[in-house]
Amino acid sequence: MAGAYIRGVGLSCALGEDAESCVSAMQRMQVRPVRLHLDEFDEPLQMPYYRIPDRSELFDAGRFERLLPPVARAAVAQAGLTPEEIHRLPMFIGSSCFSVGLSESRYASALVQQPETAIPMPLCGYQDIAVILQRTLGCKGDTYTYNTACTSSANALLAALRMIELGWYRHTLVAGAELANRTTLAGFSGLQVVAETLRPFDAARKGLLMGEGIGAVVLSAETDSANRLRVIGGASNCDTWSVTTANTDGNSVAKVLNQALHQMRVQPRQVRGIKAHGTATPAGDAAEALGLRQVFPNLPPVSVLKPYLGHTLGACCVNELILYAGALLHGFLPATPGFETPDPALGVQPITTPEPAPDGHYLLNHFGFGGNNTVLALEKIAP
Amino acid sequence: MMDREQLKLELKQMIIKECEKDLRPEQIPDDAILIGSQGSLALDSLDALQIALAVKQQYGKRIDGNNQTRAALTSVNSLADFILSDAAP
Amino acid sequence: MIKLVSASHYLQPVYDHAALTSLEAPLKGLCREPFRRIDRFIQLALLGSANCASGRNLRPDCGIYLGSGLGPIGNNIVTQEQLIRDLEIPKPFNFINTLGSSAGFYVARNLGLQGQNFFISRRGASLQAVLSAAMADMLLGFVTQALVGVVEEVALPLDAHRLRQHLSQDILLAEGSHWLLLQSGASDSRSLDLKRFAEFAALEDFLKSAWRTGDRLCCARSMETHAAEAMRRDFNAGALSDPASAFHDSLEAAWLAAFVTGGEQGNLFLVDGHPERGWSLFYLGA
Repeated sequence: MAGAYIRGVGLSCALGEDAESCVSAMQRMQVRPVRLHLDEFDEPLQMPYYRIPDRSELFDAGRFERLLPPVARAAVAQAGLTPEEIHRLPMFIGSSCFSVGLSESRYASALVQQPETAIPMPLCGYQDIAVILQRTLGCKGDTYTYNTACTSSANALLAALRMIELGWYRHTLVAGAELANRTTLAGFSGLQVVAETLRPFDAARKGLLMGEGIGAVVLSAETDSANRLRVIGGASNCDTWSVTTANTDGNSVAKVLNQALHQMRVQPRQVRGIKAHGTATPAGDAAEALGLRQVFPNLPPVSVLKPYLGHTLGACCVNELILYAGALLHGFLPATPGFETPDPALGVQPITTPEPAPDGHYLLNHFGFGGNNTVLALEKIAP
Repeated sequence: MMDREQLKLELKQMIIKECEKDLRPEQIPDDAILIGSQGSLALDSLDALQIALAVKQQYGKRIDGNNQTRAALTSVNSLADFILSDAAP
Repeated sequence: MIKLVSASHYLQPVYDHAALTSLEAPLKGLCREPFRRIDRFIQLALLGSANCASGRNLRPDCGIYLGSGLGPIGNNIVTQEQLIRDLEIPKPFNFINTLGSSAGFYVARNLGLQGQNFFISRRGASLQAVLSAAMADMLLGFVTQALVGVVEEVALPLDAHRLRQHLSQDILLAEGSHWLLLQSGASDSRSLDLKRFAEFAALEDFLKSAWRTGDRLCCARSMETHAAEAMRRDFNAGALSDPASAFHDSLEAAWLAAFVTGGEQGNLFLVDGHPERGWSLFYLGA
């Protein structure tokens, strides 16, 4: 595959509200979760949480419409698309929450005002992100909304890449969005996978921390000669071992890594760095580490970005791609804050200080509920 | 004080309902291992979470990642002991 | 060449004051193992996919492309009621099934597949989205076989379900599970092609040249109105309408599956598009 170029990016996450400042905050190793309290339950929930540092209330129903458009606008502006190109721009959306936060607020206030007519799930929100972005950006193109848990935006990006390859589209907007909502926060608490500290691949890892993030990428068939980042391919598969985690023997992770490498005709020794998924759950990291070691006898530097922005679930691929790609352009591989004690059972040790990022191939891992595994590949091109 | 035999029956009914097992309560021995491939019920870690949440909501007792409370999920016997114990919820 | 080698069509109207049809009995004969923790949306997906794949050799790379406008709405309702009305932490089984990939997981497990597995929505145009994604992967050779399904569930009570979709209260609602098995390579089955046109005139020219007596035309509901009217005028005889007069969010899937499984002869053209985004033509050969 010829691949597609990253022409423009926009990002809003715990690190900041524009992509460039997020990347430099990551270079400074800024880690800023806040303490989140959910008091409505029998036993109040509390956990560290990576929120977008806008000034509004976390569950303010207007945030969804307010925070989405600026991110996409930033990506489109940086890409320098013509009005005609924007008009026809297709969108590939990945999210695991969509507008469920908005749906929750409406249902909650209906229960207070008119309990006998209150309807649960008043919004069927799969299309809401696309609708808001189309309206605010003035796009009329096709839309594809992916909902495959934590690989949602990875699969959306893979589809965009392939349709560009086919010549169906010259430019695409790929967006991931995950905003605070009670379903996700309480749901993951019920799964008992939320930790107090995020320690990916660490012997003391206890689980994940969630975060908010909206990311948008303009992915294009062509670019100017100054552009040095290309998405060159990827692979996706489904492991039916367990609905909540990839097979902990690492076999299904190894399989999707090998598929991605084979498809790009790249040898493991040619890979210069890996952005791991690294949820920091005991089983998730085990599956990923054992899979990585099956494929890479000598592992290139591994980075985990969730300590910077939390696990942004369905949006994590696009958000972390923007951060990782930004780091590559600035010439560094991101460090992994929170990793301290190697786990001999895993044998994967993420880098703890930034390292130089040479030209060449990089892999980005994403694994989700439903056995969904997706690996994407980036190339940093020599000037 | 809750009647122990009555509680065990309730727990079996709860496990069958929560985990959608096609069983009758009398088919679950009090000491049968509940979770894991050695157990006769073939329940997994996800079932354990489902049962833990139901126990919390019905009996106010918290089963989480720590070993002591995790051990409560060994069998119907241990679950009943845990619920009847004086341990703080 | 992409061939449509098999299809299944399940469309069940849900009448007022009636219960939803139980799917347990038909699923017993179709599932390799008795699945627990599954919701109605997953049951519908298992039913349609298993019927479509029945008697067919699935290749190891066969991809699953599941589309839906509303997704697992019943399970999402239960989860939101637990959370917002009852102020309880959602049950793990319910929460996991809200996340979108569960239905594809159980379909894959039931059919022994381990390839690509995507859930894609475009609300009322989910068939077009999911079919485009599957055909793109086949055209590029990433998969040589694709199981493409569209599933819509009804959640009771019906009046709430209509309000949720901004439908008038006299509309008859239906559940649906409509699946197509696509395969690359030669076979005597119908061919499926996807043509994309920037200009409406080019689409019309193509249709006029390809049209044969007995062919059928389906204008997607998401198609721009003027163009749809022009098309229906030009190809009036072949206009395909709703066979069941019942509604769900992805009716195009029901029309297509009913056409294929109903033994109709002739080509079927499914058109969608807008002057500002271009036109798609799904061309199902005779």
